[in-house]
Amino acid sequence: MRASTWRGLAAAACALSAAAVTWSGVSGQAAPLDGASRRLVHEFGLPAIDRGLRDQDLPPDPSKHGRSAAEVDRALEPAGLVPGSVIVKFKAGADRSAAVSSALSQVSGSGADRPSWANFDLLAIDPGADPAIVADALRARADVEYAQPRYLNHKMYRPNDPLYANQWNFPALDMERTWDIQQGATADVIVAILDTGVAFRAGTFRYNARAFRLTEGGPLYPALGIVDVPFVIAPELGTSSRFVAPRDFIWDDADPVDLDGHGTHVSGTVGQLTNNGVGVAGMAFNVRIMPVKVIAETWDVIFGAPFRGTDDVVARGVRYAADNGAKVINMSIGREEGGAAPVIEDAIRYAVGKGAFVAIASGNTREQGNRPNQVGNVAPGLDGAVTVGAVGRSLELAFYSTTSASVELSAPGGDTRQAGGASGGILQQTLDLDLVETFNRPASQFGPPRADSFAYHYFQGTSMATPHVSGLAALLVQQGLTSPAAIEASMKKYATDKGAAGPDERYGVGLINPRATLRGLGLAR
Amino acid sequence: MRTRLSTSACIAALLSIPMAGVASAQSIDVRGYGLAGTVTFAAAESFEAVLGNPSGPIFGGGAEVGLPFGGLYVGAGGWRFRQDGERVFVSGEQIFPLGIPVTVQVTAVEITGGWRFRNLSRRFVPYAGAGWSAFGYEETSRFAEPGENVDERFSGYHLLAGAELRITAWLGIGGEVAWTRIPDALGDGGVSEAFGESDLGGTSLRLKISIGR
Repeated sequence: MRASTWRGLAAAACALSAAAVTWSGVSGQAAPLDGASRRLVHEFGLPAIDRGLRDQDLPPDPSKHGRSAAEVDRALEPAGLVPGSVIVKFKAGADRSAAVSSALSQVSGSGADRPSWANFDLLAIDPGADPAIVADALRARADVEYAQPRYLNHKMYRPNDPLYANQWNFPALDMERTWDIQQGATADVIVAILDTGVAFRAGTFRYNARAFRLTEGGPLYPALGIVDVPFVIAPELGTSSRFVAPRDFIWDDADPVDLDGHGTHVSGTVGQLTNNGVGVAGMAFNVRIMPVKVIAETWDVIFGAPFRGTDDVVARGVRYAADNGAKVINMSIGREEGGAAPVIEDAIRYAVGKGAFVAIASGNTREQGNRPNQVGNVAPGLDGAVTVGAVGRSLELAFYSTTSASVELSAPGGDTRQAGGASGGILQQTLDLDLVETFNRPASQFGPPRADSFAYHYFQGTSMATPHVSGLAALLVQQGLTSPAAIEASMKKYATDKGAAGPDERYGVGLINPRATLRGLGLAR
Repeated sequence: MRTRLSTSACIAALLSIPMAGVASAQSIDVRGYGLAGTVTFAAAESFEAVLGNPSGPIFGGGAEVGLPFGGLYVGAGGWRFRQDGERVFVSGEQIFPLGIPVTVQVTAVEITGGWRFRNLSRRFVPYAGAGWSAFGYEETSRFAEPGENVDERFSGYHLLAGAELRITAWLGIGGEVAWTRIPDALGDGGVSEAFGESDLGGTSLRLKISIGR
């Protein structure tokens, strides 16, 4: 009697759970999405696909944005900023409500909003008004500390194509002897990657793919409608325990998955699993990685992400990283367009004040007007933040690396015009771009992306140089150099001078010298 | 290593003199001694940064010969300082230990001429002297490649003063203070450059036990 009862209960439970699974699946398809949102439809994913070394494609020029995600943004916001709003920080002591009212009436604004995490306001202005002119007018007010348009930021590279023997960058930095001293730091050190997201989790997300144009006036790509996109952790970044406090400020949730490949590649240079008999190496291969998504790329825009990589979003990401224990913040991002970025500068000062070292890409525009990354302008005046230029395999300045007074240090970023040609880039594992950038295929082959397939790609850009500096900073933190200012000072003290004697606008103080920096000082030598 | 052997040989040779000296000439006094003490280096900030303390123990020995000209004497001796620390980075006022072990060894050879004030008391003999100092400086650290360690010789001078209490005719105990200057030995690299310290000398306090007359 008892046995038959248990058998009956078990059968009922099985039937119920099967029904629940079925219902769940049907429900997911029946009520797909609302507006500009996404939904996690499966927590798990199949094992990652490793598509190996990809070294046959010709590398695109990192300074040309080409048919990239940022182009989609530019097709929507050609001015490189979000119209209809500006960022304003009122001075401490000012009556905020009175100041907001007065400012709104001055610029014919329609409202103000202060995000809970911010110390500044977002003023809604006439969408037809030029935010730069409005910001200028607001800056002239006595009660305003700063005002700026909501400039859009983007990643600072362009991927090209495809193991340690292929990673010329690490021997060039004498990393083998450096790892003798400090073997990849430990899980106590957290490095935040502020980027396009990181392949840090498995799952399937459901999106609504809208029709779009890659370039202004270009062909209209058809809407794909509801698509399920599979994600898997990049095998060479480890398991889920490797990642800490993930945050997505583009989709405003805790799933900063990478739909582009940039952030995953940058993460690899910082912390790719090393000495595991697989793939390639990373600078500080035992650190934990904090994925912080602050850059919307092509698929994010196509899928209708609610936020873009505006200055305020980037600033939010910087503060989040500092508040959640990051000791190093990597910013292979920025913008050359527009004016200064006081909201980001403020956030970087805050992060350094909280004990985080910040590394920022200097920019890739040397052949396109040599316009420096506005986000990096704060670094030269702030001990604990550095702006990083790039060198190629010959250890000469990379053709794209922006020269300016902001450049403080150099590191390998790759240069396909120097020794090595196509393999002169920086090799790391990232998303298989063939399966992500389907919008770069003929229109007939355009389809939804897959983020569960990986390959080893050569990328080049100051975006690739910056994580070398972040990785070294992580090693230094582990070695006992806990002050951001001291980290910067030590890197500069031991940098190998390049170009003109002393600091210069091409290489800054010089090429980082990880081993000498980690060894520090004896009494007499 | 070569310095250690030559110092030991020198001391041994001098220690062998007393019996011969005493036997051959009544007016020449010969003593051998051993010493233990502490040295505080002039490059205090540098030593403190790397070793955690500007001072440390020293051990050594030597011999003195009292010449037949009043209290005039000459002596030769040596001592050694050796301590472990860790490499550091200096940023402004902050010192960051980097956890890389470093060992510093200073080996001193001193040739001294001086005067023993033997007329003041039969058992209590003050003395003062000055002379030439040769310092060997060795700095070895983990992960260093050949050429990255330091093994160098420097010379300078010293002044000393002390007093000896004769326990018996052949045994004495004494204490002395010595001030040594070894200019331009440090300051070309390492934390000594950061702190602008170049003198490897310092002040040492020594307890001596001597055998001989």
